[in-house]
Amino acid sequence: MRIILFLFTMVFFLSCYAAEDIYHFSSTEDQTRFAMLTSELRCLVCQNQNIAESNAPLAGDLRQQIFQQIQTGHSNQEIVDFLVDRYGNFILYRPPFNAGTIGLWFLPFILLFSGISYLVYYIRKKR
Amino acid sequence: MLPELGNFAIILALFFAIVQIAGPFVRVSGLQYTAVFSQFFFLAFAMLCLIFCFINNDVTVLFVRDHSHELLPLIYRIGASWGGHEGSLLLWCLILSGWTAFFLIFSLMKKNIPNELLTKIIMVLGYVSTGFILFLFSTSNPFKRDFPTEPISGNDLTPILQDPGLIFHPPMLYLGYVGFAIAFAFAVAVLLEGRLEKNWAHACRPWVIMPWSFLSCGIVLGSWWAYRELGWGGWWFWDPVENASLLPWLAATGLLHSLIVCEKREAFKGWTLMLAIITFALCFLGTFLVRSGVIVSVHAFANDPDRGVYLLGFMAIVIGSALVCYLLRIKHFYQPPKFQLFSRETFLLLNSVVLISAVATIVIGTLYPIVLEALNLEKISVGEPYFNTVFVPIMLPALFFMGLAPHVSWGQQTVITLWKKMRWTLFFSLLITALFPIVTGFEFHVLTSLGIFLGIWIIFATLQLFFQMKNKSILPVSAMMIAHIGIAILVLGMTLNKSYSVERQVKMLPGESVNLAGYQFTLNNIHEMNGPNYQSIAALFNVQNNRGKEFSVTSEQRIYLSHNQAMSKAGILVNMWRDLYLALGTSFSDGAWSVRIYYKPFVRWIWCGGFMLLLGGFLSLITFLQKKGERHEAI
Repeated sequence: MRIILFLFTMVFFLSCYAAEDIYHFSSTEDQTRFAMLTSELRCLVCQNQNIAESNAPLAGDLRQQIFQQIQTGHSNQEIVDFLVDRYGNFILYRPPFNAGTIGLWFLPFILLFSGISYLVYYIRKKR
Repeated sequence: MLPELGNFAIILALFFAIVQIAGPFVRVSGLQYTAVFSQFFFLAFAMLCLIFCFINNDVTVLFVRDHSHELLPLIYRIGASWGGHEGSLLLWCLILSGWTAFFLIFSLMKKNIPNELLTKIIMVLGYVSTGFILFLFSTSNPFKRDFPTEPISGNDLTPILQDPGLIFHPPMLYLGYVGFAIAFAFAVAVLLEGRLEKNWAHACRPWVIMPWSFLSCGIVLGSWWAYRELGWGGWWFWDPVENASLLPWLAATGLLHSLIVCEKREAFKGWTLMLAIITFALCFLGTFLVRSGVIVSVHAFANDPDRGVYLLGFMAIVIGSALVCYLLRIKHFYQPPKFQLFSRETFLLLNSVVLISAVATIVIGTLYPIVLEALNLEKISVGEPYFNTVFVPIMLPALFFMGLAPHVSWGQQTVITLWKKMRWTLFFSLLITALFPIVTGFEFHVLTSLGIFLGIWIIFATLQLFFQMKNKSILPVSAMMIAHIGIAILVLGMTLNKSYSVERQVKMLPGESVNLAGYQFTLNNIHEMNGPNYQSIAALFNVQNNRGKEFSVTSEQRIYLSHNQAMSKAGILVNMWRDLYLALGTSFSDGAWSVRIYYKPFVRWIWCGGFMLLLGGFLSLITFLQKKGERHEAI
């Protein structure tokens, strides 16, 4: 009996003194997903901050929104699609790949490649 | 009285800047040099006037009224004189004329630059200076006054700027940024002359190394400031304003290496001149981006479209005319390459190519959204995930070559000898990378291991240089070694921090605890505190590590009286291996507080690496001074 009482107080003790997570996830995988999603989405009312780090009320709402969607079993893609539907591509810190952003995604590599090619050509040319 | 004197000093400085341009045409001996020193004197005087206006809290000066307050502590009043657009531009002009004066004294003492060339360099600098002082005077005059009919108090400095970072970061950054004007002027003057003196590269090198060191330090200080101040423990956000400072740094790093080839091998002359122009163009672009208001940034500054137009126009004239010079004269500098494909020259050229591609990536990433929006096509954001996907892969091979290139011979090298020389270094770097997750217990990730490998590889390969040196003077090599190892430490810090940081966001009542990464954090109490111009709610935490050792740390939420704006002041426990970062959030109705707790391993390494760059730069400067001295003795 004493032992049970002791265990009971122990449990009580722990539950009383450990602070609770604001976003409590059942698995670490979900927690990582939450961290990843909130860090890759832009807070729309801030100067230039992601919603994980912003203190703006909108960012708080969006965090809550994403948290609930993760809890109800939505995939990352579904959550992102939902937010893009609502707020447009501006919310994505990773711009989507489309006709308008081809240059954004490919130009750096094209420049690097042509730079190296020219370099090799320049050194080899004299022979 | 003081503002009028300051204003008059700016006008005089403008006059002397124009005299500085006229120098080569009006052959009055010493006129140009006098103009340089007078300009510096009057700009320094104007800056002092502004600082005194701030110290006196003279609210009749508009710029002071917008950035000062009677409660603002003295040290931030001084800092506030460059905490806004107008004052910061005055600092820009002051530092430019300071560099010019320093350069002139140094060159006159050393006599390492022919008079003809020196006059032209000073002329080009006068040209840049005139444009900026005119800009300062016409669109951004810090001494503009307005006499209020009834007593008013100032608007105060934005709370986010009220930090020791404000005292050091902007001057340091500007010392770097603006200093590249000398290398630019050097390049343009050389192009105007149409011929290169033999020791050109040697004479130019300190004027790249010094600003480069200051800029490295300035960027690092900025990152450290943002880390402490913005309340989420991030040290780099790929924000346009941060990018604006990184761009000239990358280009200057290319220039630094290219100049070495110029000096030692008499090659890459044309390309080096181009890099000097590009570097300064990027400083201009940065100033434009930050000062014109075309970008949305977390580092909010006062902006105005008129200023943007002026800066853009002025930039087009300065850089455009430099490029025209370049195109007209470049054929004089062309040389066919005198080296094999596999040689140190090639690696150093590769360094330039990679760095310039990296610059292009950042320019594209920063400007693309602006262009898309201007064309009314789409509104997009480009942030960290983009740069991680595009910028990082471009830089990774460069890091590998950074370890390798110093071991490659000038002229030509065979792959087999290099392999024989480097194989054990490569083996041990791989071994340690493989052992790292096993020994430390950190989780294994492929990309993390890649980062660790590159860091360790650079360190080992660089140390190998030290052991292979035979009776050579150690100082010249050590500057390079320290800078390269600094980069390695930076890479290790960034990799490990990105991969192994953990955080918890919790709701805490006084007396409650949280465990994270082997530490127990207990919220001891919440109390109120009063600062000079703010009231704060401070949370005292006790932190216990798993060996029972205790620390305490305070995290605050400050309300600045003049702004009525809450600012989080994080509590940070620092050591070499990790930071524990606690940020107090908002309160709940039951008396609990939301708290964000971060465990950030190796974050100090990032700043240590950055300071090693500064150290390396200064060592290299000492070498430069010493070498000349020795030569004199030999003669």
